[in-house]
Amino acid sequence: MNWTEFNKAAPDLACRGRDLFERVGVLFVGTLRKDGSPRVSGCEFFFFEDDLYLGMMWQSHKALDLLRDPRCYIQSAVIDKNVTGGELKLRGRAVEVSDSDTSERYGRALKEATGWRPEGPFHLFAMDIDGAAFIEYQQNGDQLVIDWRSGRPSRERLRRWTGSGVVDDQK
Amino acid sequence: MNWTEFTQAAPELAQLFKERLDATGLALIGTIRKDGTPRISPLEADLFEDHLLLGMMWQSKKALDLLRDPRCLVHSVVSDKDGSEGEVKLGGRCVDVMDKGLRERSAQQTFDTTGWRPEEPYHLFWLEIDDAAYIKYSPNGDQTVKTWRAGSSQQSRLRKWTGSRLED
Repeated sequence: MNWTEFNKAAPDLACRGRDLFERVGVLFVGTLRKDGSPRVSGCEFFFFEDDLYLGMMWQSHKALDLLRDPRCYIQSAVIDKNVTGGELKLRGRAVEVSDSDTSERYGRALKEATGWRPEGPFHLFAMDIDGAAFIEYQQNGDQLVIDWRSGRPSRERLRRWTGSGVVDDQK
Repeated sequence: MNWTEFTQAAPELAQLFKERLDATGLALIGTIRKDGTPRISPLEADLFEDHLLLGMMWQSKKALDLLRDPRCLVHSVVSDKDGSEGEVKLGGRCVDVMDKGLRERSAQQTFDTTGWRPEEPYHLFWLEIDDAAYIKYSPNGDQTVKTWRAGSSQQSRLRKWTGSRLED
């Protein structure tokens, strides 16, 4: 589903996710290399109309990965060891935007928002979201976890730190 | 190869990764989920003896991924949008640390530096490094790129931004 639909299905996750992404202004995308091994890349993003868009340089490795296999994973930037503010993950597919009208509207909106737009060819993908999770680490080692997958309501739980691991403590 | 061998084969890339790791003690790791799709997780990493050691909570998803498929990518954390600090990637495979002495010595080191000791059971891997890359973005759009692959020497190049694409 697109970002607007995700925002309706799991508003708490969508809201936290957007804040975390925009805090640093860059996110990480996990893609599959030709041999099936993982690649992790920093990536520019932009929320526009109903979608979370990923803009990529023409013929970049990550874009070529996604054209071959759109399955990907988005991770918010993590700035310190305590993962202050938590982390947000999205699972899904990056769908190539091949419609030139959408690319043009995206370029104009990006220029308006940031003062910059890509010139010449670039790759543009819209996220089709299947699942999401938010994790926040508390000082005592407990983890607050909110997870969601398409077709189900989101679920919040506390994973309690036992001294050597975590156990579920359903809320 | 292990970390010590990597520092000999590609000293500049090793130093760049170490600087990024020292700044935060944190990295990101890309692993492969059961269905073959990628996962990214933050993790704590330490350079200890001859290894880049990756400690993980017992039965955590990233650890289970690695026990099923050891191929991974370790990425430095990036905390600003313009990429001025540069990003370093290490590609390779995670090897489960079975050596009790190494586990014990690294746990002691963690205790000595943080006051906290990991209690068994937990997962500990060392990274067998196959390739590495560094990318730094300049304000004018140019990219400084350094790459290395086991068996070759390090390559450095400047990719110049032409306004719409990069040229080597």
